[in-house]
Amino acid sequence: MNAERRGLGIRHLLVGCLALAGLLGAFLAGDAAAQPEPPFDLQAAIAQAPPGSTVEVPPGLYRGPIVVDRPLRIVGRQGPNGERPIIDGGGQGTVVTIAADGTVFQGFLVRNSGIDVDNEDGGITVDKAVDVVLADNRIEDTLYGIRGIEAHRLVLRGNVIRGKALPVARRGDGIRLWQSENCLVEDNVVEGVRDAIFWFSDDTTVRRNVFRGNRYGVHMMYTDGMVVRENLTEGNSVGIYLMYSVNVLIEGNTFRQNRGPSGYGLGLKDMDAVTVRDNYFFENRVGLFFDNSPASVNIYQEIRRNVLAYNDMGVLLMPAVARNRFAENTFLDNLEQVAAKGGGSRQGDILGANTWEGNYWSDYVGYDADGDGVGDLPYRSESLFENLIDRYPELRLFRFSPVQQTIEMAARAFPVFKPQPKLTDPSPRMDPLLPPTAPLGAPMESAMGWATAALLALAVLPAVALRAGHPARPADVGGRPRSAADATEEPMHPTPPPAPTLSPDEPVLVARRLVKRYPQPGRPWWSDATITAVEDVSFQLFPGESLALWGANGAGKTTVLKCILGLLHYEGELRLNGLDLRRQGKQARRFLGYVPQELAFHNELTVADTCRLYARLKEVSPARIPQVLALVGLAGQERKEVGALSGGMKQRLALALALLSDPPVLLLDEPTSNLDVNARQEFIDLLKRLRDRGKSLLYSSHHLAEVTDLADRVLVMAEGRIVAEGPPRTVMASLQGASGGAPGPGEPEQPDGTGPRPQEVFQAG
Amino acid sequence: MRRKTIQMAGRRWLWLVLPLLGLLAAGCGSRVAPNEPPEIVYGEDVCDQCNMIISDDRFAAAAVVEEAPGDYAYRLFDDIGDMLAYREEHPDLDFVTLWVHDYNTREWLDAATAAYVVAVEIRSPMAYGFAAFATPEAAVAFAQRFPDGQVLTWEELQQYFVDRYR
Repeated sequence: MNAERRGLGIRHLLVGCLALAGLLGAFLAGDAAAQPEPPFDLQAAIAQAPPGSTVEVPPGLYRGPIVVDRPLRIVGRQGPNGERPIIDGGGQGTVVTIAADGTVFQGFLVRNSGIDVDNEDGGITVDKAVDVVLADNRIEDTLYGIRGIEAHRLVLRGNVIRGKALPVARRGDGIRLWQSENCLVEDNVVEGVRDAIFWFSDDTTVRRNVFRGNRYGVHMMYTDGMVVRENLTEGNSVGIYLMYSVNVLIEGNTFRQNRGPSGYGLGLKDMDAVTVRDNYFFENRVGLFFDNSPASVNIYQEIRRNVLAYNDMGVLLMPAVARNRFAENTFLDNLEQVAAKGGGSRQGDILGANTWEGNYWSDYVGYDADGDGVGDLPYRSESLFENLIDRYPELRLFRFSPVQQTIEMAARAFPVFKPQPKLTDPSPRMDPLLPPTAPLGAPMESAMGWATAALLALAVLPAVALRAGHPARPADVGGRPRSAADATEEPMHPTPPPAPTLSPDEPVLVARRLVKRYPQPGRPWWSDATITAVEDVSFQLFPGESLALWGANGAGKTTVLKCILGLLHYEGELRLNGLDLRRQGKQARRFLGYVPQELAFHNELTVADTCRLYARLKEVSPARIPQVLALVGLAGQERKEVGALSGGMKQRLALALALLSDPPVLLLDEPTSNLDVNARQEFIDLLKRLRDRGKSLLYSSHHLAEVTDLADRVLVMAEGRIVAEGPPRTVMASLQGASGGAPGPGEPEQPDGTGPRPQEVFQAG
Repeated sequence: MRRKTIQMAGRRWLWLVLPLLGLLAAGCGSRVAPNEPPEIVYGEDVCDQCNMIISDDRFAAAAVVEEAPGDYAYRLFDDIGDMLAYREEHPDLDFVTLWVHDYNTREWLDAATAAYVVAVEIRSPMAYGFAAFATPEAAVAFAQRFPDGQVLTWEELQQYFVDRYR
């Protein structure tokens, strides 16, 4: 019995030990156990295959180095779970070398190269072979990614390249093309490497790639005729840097958060005949940098229809940069819109050697009396403080401080301090111009990136829509064959950040002593005479509250909304959700949705395409679109073209776009002014439901019904001031008493739905 | 009826003066010795010629210039060729000392005492293809790796630069 028990115990012990040993062995074997070396000698298969044939490689782990010395089509076959054949360099040398013309190498995971910088150890080297195609490979943990040395007509398509985890200064290049002409580099992702380099490689096209987290997203040198289109460069030290080349097109790219040393989105050094158009530059240290470009005296360069938003500097020119034409660009809330490095008092000379015409400037303080979309006064960039910063960069420490205010005030008050304008744009656009496609397709990891895109959409939509009665022009819609609907096919951010939680006791929006002045038309140059559009306006808006700005045309209602939207500079204080709209405008305005008075949709787009376009701009998941369309009563209208919608349905569509990111605060400018009586009541009912769901509404109106039916409180405005405030019934009653003729809130309106003109009321105010 | 207003000014002029005084004080603090090489912060410092970030210590170079009598400053470069280009483009500056890195040991060398290898296939940051060595023997050994490798003295390198790039 005891012996039997002893025997059982020994057997159990042995089984346990064996099991433990097995587990330990599997653990130590790691990848090798998961990827057993198949009975397939890849190098031998290559050596035995007839030139021009296909070698299909099953999943498994293959040891490098592999050398392809005959033209073959080598295709990695995926396993049932998507696993691909792995070629592992074992930490030595270059993993795969291709030395045969016409080779196709596709579908592999190539990893674990050596780290010898002198030998440029890497994943795949194409060595003096032409017409090679590298497609759909993953290259990981290699010093260099893909090198092409005298590899003309090389095609890199759909590869993902991630470098070794080394400090950026010790990494190799993700892509290095050297003396390789007529290459095509498309749809690749290059991350965590030093640079993607294109040197001595004329007529190469680089398109739809993502360059992220590198030193230089792209560094191009001595490469004429290059086309760089629709790429995303994000989080690099420098996005794209171009040097010593001629005839280069930079089009439709996004440069975002390139903020390392230098921190240029796009830099041009000794370049000639570069065209930069339809690009987006967000949150870089410097959006566009020019150094001796164009380099030749008879060359002019065109910088057109780009959006430069929220960069520390929009454009920076080195001394002696001249002959660049800046037209139809949007300069939106860059800390410094344009600067000339080291220019000091010569800034005007440097910037004036380039032409600036028809750009949108978010700090423009003029007006457009004739409604032609062009400001009636020239835009002049003249800031004494910025001039001082350009000469003494250390002064940036004092930005937004009383020092800056004092210096600017001195410049205005005493002409001796008044700086020469850095630049003059004789015909500034009143509205931003959105490039034809917004290449924001690649997912953004950071909340700041999301906020930027959302803010851009927020800034652009109202400004475009505020073009009263001006339908979208073909140039605004886009001149390229790619449609906005096509653009929406690209992936988007999977989930938008949640809306903030607001305390019901705290005002979500606070205006304190808001003042907006414009220069007086026709004033002499020495005069600072102004006209006041808004004077000393203070109010609060609480969560779930509906607040009306009521007044006649010209009372200042829309100006207040524009100040909140960041479209106008102002005096006083505006706070949204506790954030200062002047200093923290980017963060704050993500909590805003805006419905403009006049809508300028692209009529040829469907409702669904329009929603997808704006969802993409705001980086909101497309899953949100059916929800907002149902919320505003447009479910089932997705396929209808916007041009075929009624006025009421267009207004609902504008509301749906404002609701895409689920903002807690909605701003509406005369929300029902273009609707008939029935559509107006339906829209007001819809807004009530939103208010009851907790949205805060601030809207301007001169329609009595909008005020009495929807507002919890009303601020009556006249001549830029608030002249009465309170619940609608109370305010109406007091105004009625004061004027003797104004209607009470319950009185019927006129047939046109507007009720008596409020001017009668305001005379009493 | 809208009102005309005139912007009024005049408060706290001291704020205008204080930052400038601060800058003046800060500017008086830096001193560079004319016979010592700089410490380059790789991945952060920027080349004074091409504005690119300096990352590769094999090719990084530096110059000490005398901006005013007794007042020295560094100029940093990512490529020996860029240092020569910068000197060509700034004839008004007094270049006191030029420094290059030994390709093998990454130690600083006085540019005038180093031996150089020139070859197209030396892929230096700005593609000049110059590498510096502490001894002619080391340079000769390295040059043998390239079909077109040439070994040059400092004087010969400067002449090569002028002939080829100027």
